[in-house]
Amino acid sequence: MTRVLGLLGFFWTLPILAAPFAYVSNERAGTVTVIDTATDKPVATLRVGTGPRGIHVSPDGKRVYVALSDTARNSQSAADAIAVLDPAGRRVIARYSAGSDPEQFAVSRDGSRLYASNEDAGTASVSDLKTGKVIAILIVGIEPEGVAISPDSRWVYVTAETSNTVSVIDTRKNEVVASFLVDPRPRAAAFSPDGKRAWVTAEIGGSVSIVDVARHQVVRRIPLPRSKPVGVVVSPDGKWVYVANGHGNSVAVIDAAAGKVVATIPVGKRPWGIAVSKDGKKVYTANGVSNNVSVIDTRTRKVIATIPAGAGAWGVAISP
Amino acid sequence: MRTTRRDFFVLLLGAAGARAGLAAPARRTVRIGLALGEGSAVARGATLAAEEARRTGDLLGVVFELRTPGPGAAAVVGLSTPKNPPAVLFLTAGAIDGPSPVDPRIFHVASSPRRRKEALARAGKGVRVVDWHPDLVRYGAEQLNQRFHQRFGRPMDEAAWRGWMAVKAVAEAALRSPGGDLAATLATLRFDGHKGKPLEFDPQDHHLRQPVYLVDGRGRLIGEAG
Repeated sequence: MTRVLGLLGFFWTLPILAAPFAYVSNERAGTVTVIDTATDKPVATLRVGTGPRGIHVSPDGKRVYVALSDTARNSQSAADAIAVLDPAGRRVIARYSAGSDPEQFAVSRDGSRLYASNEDAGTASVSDLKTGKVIAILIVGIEPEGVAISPDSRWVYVTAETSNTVSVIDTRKNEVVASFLVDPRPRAAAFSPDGKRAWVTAEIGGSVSIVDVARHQVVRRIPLPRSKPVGVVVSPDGKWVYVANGHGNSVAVIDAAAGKVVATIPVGKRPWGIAVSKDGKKVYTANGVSNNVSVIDTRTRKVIATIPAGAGAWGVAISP
Repeated sequence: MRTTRRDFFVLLLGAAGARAGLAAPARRTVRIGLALGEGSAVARGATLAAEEARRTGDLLGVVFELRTPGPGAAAVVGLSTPKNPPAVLFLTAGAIDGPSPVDPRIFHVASSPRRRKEALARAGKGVRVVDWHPDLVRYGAEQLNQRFHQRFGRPMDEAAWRGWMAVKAVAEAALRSPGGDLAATLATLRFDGHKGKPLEFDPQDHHLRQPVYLVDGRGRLIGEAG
């Protein structure tokens, strides 16, 4: 923990309600919108700092982490950090260092490590969440972006937009132990619940690559016509993969076993971040141009709610 | 990690990535000949792409060498179309103003004269059409412009982008088609040039299909021609 925040402003519109909640980072607004997933209504807005993008809830649900970055590229400042939110008190309680311009990140299952991509530096940073210190900086591909951790926390995949690569971090060694090529401009990755497969989106490639995690090799490529795939999430039962299609303004539903697109659901404008509820019944997308959140009923595959968020809605995470 | 001027013509394998333990592929070398004036904008762009290719190759087990054209080169990047049919894949990184021979081994990174003429016809007086501008922001253009500026201390102009794109296209073809025919790979390759759309070479004239941009008489970016 580097610094307890007392200076940032917080404002809440409603009292605390029962979990689970969805937390939406709003890049341009510098805020996090809190949504009660029982009612799909926004219940609070929290100012967190400059340029919040990547967002995750800790495995125990006791912390929400948000990646912040300053407006100046290629430089590191105090504004570059991982903000730690206390969901119960609904306030920022700490800021961790995670290298320059952290964008996306993943947290280990035991909550002890945080792995972040540092886009401008071309590195991935490993932070100790007990001390808040960066304990390793690893060279990955050029313009690293998406970060995903396997369910057993053994592997971290870091996508890189310009080199079109995925770098594999062995978390036992904190080393990059393999890299492989995927389609142009890979943006995000997600592991299947059994950890055997990973799904990597490619925005310019217009595709999703299926990766055999045991070999760290692409085994299949699924084209997504007329889309620009960015965020990706796998349902808790592993049967469905949901892909936010960015400027395609839709979500693709992929049958994970068949590797086929079974539905394309129109949502708000430029969905980027995407999350699925723990029961698998709802999918939430953060829509960066329409500044809102679309809620999809996964059974009917229709949007059942559109929730206002802040300017530049970017990422979304759901508490346990 | 910064490549020095001395590294310009021969880029050597770095140390990072050699640790790769899982399924580490055997290393192979790809040599790219560069027939560009040293110190020119297009050469600076080519240099940046070569450095980035080296970093990518470092991760994937490929050694990229950029050197003067000669035996062993898998491809040559030059400014204009060669007088004689090339022996290997040849990419032009300069402007092509008139008709150029269609050769299965020659590709042009610049937008075609026809494409530029069409874009210009829809623009007002005093407007120019360019393939790149240092003020572009979207689709990772801002990051590319910043990487170039950080490396060379000057903006990435159209010529620099063409040099960068030419080497990047060759490197990507080499990565995606190990041991294959680079020209055949490039003919069907769809790749990213930080323009928001997959780029590819037109099978008719081998010019790169790409969005182009409009600038006013003072060189200011005023729009995209799609």
